Amino acid sequence: VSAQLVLALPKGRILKESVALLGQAGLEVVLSDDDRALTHESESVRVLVTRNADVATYVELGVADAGIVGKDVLLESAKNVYEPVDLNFQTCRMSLIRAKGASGPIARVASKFPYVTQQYLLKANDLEEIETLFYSSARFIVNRAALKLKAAQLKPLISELRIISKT
Amino acid sequence: VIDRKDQRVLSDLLEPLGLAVDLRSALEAIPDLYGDLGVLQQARLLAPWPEALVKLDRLEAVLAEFEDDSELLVDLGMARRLSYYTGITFRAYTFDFGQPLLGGGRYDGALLPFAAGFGIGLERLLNALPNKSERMIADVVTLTDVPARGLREAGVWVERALSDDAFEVRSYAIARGIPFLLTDDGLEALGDRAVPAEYLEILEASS
Repeated sequence: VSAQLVLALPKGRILKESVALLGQAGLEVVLSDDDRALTHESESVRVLVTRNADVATYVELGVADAGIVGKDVLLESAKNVYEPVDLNFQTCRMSLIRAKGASGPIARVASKFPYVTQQYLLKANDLEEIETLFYSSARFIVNRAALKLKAAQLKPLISELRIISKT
Repeated sequence: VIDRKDQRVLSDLLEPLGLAVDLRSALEAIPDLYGDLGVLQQARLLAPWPEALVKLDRLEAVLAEFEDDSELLVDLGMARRLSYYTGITFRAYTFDFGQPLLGGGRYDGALLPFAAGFGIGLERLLNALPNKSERMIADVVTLTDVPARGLREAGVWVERALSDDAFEVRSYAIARGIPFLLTDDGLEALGDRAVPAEYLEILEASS
């Protein structure tokens, strides 16, 4: 059994914020000085820096035990992972928007999130008045096997993260 | 939502329902009711109502059937999306492999009045095995379960025969190159190698 925790974190702004939050929760993550490094290693944790859209895939397959990703990207990925903590940062909302004053039926929708769009628009028939589809924020996600087999490391981390990110 | 352990959305969904405080906190706790068998005691404290306690007693009685429960974990927040399950469901995991190797449960009434079963992910199982490049050949093939346990505990690789027909199993083992056959009568050498004295000692000690 490997005691080292493997985390998948997305490149960019969310990476620094995630590392700070994990540190507050008692998990020391040291990023190497090389900005382009794709893995950062210490005795207790190994960080894989991935594209935002790949975090959930790494976690679902168990390449990483846990990760941090926005709820919008997570919904779009439709991956089967646990999402025990809402970290309450990187908040945004997913809305259905149209030209001001438009009132005809909606025939076509442009979206970077085709799966999510389909899910929501199929659920509701009459969406003209509904603007916000959902609110999104960063989530701490966990592989389904790792949560059970590495509970000794993950359970305390989850409860610390929940306390810290309560608004 | 409970199956994904999404505590945030669960709270959002429960809030407008106007539930009694104790009921709401019991529901909110379900995603976190996973771990060793101590979870059952936690659940009793959170849901001290007769219907819940009867179900927990039943679950505990089923789990008591395990001869060795040291690697048993429970998750009261696990839901399977297949609607034919009617009772306990289960999955099997191994260390450092992120996908379940096996999954199943109870599905009374689907095919038979009382039914249970599981599926094994053969491809996952092969991927989870170490040294998968080597051809894997067991040390012993067995037709009997209880005497095999001592050998397994001592690290001997014992494969359970899929058939109860000794002739068929002997032919299978010889074709595969498994050197020894274990039956209720003892160990039999199938090839040139004599039965190791060590195996006989283990069998003697555990009988």
